[in-house]
Amino acid sequence: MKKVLMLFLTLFILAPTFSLFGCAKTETTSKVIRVCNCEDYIDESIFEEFTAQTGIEVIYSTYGTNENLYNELVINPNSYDLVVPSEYMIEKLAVEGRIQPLTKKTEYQGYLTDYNSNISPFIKEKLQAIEIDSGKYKNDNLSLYDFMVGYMWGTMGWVYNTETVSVDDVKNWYSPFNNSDIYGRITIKDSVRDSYIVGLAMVYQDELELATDNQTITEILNRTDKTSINKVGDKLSSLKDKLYGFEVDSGKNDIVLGNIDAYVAWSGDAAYAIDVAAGEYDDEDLGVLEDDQLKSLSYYIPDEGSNIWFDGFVMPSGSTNYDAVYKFLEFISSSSSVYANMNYTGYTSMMAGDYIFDNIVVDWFDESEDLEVGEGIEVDFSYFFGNNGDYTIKVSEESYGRLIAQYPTQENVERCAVMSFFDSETLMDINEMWEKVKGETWSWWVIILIVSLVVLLAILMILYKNKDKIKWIKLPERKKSYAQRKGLTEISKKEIKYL
Amino acid sequence: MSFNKDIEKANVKSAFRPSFSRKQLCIPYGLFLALFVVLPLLLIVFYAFTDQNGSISFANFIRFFSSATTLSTLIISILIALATTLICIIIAYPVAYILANSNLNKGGTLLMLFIMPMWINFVLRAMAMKDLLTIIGVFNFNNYLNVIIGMVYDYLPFMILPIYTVLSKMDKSYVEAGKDLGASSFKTFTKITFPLSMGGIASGITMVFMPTMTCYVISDTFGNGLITIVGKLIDEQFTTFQNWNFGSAMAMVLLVIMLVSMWITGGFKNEDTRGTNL
Repeated sequence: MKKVLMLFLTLFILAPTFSLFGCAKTETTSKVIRVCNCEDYIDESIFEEFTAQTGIEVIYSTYGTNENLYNELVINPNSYDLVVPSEYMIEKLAVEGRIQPLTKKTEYQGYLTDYNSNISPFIKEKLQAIEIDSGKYKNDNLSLYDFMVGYMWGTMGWVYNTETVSVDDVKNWYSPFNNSDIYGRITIKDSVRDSYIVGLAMVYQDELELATDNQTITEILNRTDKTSINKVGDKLSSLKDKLYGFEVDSGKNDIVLGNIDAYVAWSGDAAYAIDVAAGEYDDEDLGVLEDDQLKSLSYYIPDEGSNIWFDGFVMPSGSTNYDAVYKFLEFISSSSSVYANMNYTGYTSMMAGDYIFDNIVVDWFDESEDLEVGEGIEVDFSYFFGNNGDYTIKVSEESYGRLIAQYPTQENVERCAVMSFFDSETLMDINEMWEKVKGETWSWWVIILIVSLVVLLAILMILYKNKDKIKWIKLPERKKSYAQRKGLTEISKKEIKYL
Repeated sequence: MSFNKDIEKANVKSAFRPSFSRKQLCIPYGLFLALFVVLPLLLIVFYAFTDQNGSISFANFIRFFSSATTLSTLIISILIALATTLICIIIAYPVAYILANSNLNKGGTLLMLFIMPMWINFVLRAMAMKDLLTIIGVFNFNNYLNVIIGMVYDYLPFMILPIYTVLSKMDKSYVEAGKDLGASSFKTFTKITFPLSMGGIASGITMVFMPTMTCYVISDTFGNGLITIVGKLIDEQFTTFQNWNFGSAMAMVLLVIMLVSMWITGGFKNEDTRGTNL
């Protein structure tokens, strides 16, 4: 009886799992959508509304890095219906045929009306310029724009503490390293792509400053020849003594806490750090800051040029859940979702349109009412929002950095380059360069010396252990034991065993 | 009559009782072993000896042993691991000794206090420890020192526990006999207690040394990303550089180094450490 009961109990416990399996199998085509995104990169509360509107449930998961996501897609092309990688990874996935064209499908154009009319003309142009001219879609005349529904975009630059670092100290990528006051109080990214482009900008600073058009800047910031890689490696290695460290996510906390004075930041993180340090937003880890902990931080995109990046929704080639996917894309591109996500993440949506301009750009940043005539800085965002309206706002000098972190100016983005993905050979060279930067390289003599010492030690140990078997080793006789000295008979080991 | 019935009942029962032979009882673990130990190991070997196109090659090993950087990183990792293990022994032995011989520890309360940190997520512990060290001001001397402090902090329980187990199971009559025969406390310790606890130390070493070489979370947090250990190199091959082959080759080199060092130090002959592992 007991056993039967146990069996029933077990089945009872397992039942939900079985039904879950059932769900996943039968309903992928209709009632469920599997979305995978970066952590903290979407306002998850909007999913409820989506389910209420369409009856489709969102199975949401997150990934750590683009490369992890890539590995997952390689192992199982049907693991998700929508994923959100960065532009270089989208390019790589498209070239390898691991995602399908998204915005060109004629039968689903109805869902993309909002998206097509509101996507920023600047972003559209940038994405269309990246052609997919090799791999599976080589002859289809497609660009990056056809593969993705744009989500967020941003730049990279210095976040700095305005009390200890002046704007002149972050004018160029290398400038902070010229100021000996902040040695050991700077961090750069512990991610090879981000640090590589920073290194390139440092190595080719003169050439970049002479360049006037985006094409030349993009060419320089995409150099991957061996000499460039070596030069970047040497440059980055030389910075190590002046660094606090390499980081990927601790930088914003460190600068708010005052451990560092300047760090390389992605624009969204920059906006977040500036807000937290100003006490406008309480960080989960740091808690509420005391008044004397508040800091005035700012963001600056170095003059010679920087990186511009785009994240977007793409559909893995294994998924066939079109209906749900396009419904979700329509929902996520609607003005209310865009507002919710920008408000939640601090990053900048690729969607333009008057709603976003009025409710975000003007509402969050415009200070023209508080400023006297002649005061403040006027910024024109018609490059992003289009030419059919007045998209100019006015901000004070103090809040200019915060604005740039969210909405860079036209002058900024004209000097920002999209970085292509590294092919496998380049990746190998860059990998070796990065190993050298991050690790130590001792001279061969030291290595050989240490290894031979260890081998010698090992041989000695083996010999010592087998000293009874090898005849030519004669160790000095042992000191007589207490019992021997006293003339007592020693009990043999065998006898001890019997005792 | 009822007596007969009982016998009948018993017979029926025994007929229904499922009978397992010893071999059959091994099946679950055998499956586990095959799926989660043997298969991954075989995969590592396969990846290590192939290049990215899938054809057999030794290029990964040649690359590892011809680069001064990877070898330096390996040596640094071993040195950090050695230092950590040594410091762990120096701290853990007295603690384990006191715990094993103290009356306070009757219900294992003291031991619990030492083991309890292990129940908290170790990334969390590492971050908290880093903040604490920064506040005290010990943190900014040297990144290697920071990493070793972090490693010792994290792996100390793994050293205390096996030594404690051996010491507390040790037959106290040996020590008493030694004292009866006139040996000093110091001599009883060096001639009896310490040799008898070697098993615990040995299993402590295996549990501290190897993980320390690859625990890059600690080296990243405490070294601010400025210290690279071999585990970090392996991780980057799999996550950033998409070179599973080179990553597997490095993992295999580590495995071989560990096996050889255990063979040399006689780590395989630990009959007397049975049950002292966690």
